[in-house]
Amino acid sequence: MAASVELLYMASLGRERKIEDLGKKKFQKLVYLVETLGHVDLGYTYQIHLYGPFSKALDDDLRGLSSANFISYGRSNRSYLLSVTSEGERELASAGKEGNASFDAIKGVFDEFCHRTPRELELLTTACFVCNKLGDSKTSDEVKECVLRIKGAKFKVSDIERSTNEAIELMAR
Amino acid sequence: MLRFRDPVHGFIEITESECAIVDTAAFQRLRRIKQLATTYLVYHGAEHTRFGHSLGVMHLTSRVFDSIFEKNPDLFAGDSRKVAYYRQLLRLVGLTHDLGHPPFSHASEELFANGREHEDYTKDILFSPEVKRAIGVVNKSFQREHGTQFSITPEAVWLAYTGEDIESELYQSPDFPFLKSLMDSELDCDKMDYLLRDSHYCGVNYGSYDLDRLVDSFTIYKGEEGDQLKLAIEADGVQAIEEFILARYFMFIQVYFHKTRRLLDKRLVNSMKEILPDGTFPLEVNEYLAWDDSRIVSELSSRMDGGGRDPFLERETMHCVFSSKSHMGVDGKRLYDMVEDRARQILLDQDSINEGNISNHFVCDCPRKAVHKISPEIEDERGIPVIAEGKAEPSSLLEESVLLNSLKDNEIAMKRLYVSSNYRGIVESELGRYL
Repeated sequence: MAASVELLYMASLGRERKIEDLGKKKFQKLVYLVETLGHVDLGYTYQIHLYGPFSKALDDDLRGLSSANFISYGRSNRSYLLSVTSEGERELASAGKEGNASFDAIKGVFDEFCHRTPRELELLTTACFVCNKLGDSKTSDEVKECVLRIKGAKFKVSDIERSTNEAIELMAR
Repeated sequence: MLRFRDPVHGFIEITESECAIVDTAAFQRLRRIKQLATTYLVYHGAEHTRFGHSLGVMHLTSRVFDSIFEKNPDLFAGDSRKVAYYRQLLRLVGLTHDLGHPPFSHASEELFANGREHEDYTKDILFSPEVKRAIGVVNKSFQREHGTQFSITPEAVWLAYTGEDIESELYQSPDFPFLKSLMDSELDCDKMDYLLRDSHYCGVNYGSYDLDRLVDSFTIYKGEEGDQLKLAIEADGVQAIEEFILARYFMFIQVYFHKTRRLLDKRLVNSMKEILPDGTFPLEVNEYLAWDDSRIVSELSSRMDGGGRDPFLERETMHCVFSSKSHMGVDGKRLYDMVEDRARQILLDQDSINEGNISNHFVCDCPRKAVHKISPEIEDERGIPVIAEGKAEPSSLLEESVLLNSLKDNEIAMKRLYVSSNYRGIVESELGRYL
């Protein structure tokens, strides 16, 4: 589990920032943004799945952290929210939280997007994924078309347009 | 329609055009790739190969697909051509998914060069002229019956298996994650076949489960807004799923992680390094396909004929002097670490053993596997909705199953120490005093 410290740091930020909807889905999308926009290479590969970009290895690593009792899940209505345990905080501290060079970048991306809902992040990360894969050769209309085909059944056209525009701007940053 | 008589599923029907794929040299090679590597040296019945498994998975993909479609005739807006296309595509994914396996299946995967995986070879083989032509035969037959709106191509088969192409219409379709889940999820057809097949050939019952009930339980969940498509199960199928997950769990502990098999797999890999060019599998697909179990055994035998020794062919095992529990835990790991250090020191204290040759006498093995990866949440890639008759809202499988919920985030994690026969006595006796 190469990125366990970074994942624990993100879970710890979630607790510090009192994020109340940080389930596995939202966490996946935030890690994707950290890697894509923060340029922090955590080694995960993503595929478009039911709820946007999804990494099996990241899901496995979260299970590993839960199995080691570094993170836990608490039920809230129909969701299961993720939080770092005191054992996880100790592990993070012993791993040298202050010395990790990627933490600033992680924090920057986390703070920028942590207040979005999981559903908003699903659409935004899908748009970022499409931008990334299509590359610079495609026009913004072609990117929108592609996002529309993937998410058109689930999101309004206006939302897709807004998220795609934002993704194009973010990716160009 | 042709039929294969299969020990697990009875008659497996296959169309003449699909048989064009079975008849390729690449597919026939699977007759010479053992499904369970060196397991036949422990469970002597385990001589079965990837050939039968591939046919079995093809058979199950269409059984599961048909079961779902029967309950949901409006699936894919009732577009009969699309239904036929997806069904055919899934059958070919099932049939071809293991084409890229190396000799002795997973055991020798560490001998891939350049970070390749067996899926990379599967892709190369799907696009090789012979297999591409055979897929073309299936396409021709499909289009004759269903028109030319959809095409069965190596690209589509690869995509539905594990590929990625953001510009492909199939990849962009909201149906796509659902299709993939039939071959790549906690309840996929690959696992459904190998558990029954491996169990049958090993002569054990651990991998048995109620296949008919399981297949009959599959359905779909369309999301709260009817805007998604997800593999789901009917409420009366929960026990069939529990049985299936437990079957896999038992098979890992009793068969796949069997202590002697794990050691023999390592022996095999060491022997294969000696005969493969540069100790790794060739990158070029035709050169790669020339390697199968028979050639490995034959080349190892030739070396022995020249007076050499081969610990794998001679089935030279080592003795497992210490094994943690199947679910080791923190305390178990601490104990293992102490024992490993002690055993290593005992061996290094022997006159004939030093850091340079200790690996001939001392082997550590650490198999791990999640019991299951099912998420408790429905709105999660790995969540499984349970649909109950008369209930508007589905529930999550882990809400319905106390058993599976209790195994959530649990993994089989064990560590073992093996010592060669010559030093078994002294290590066991010293460790006995130490412990």
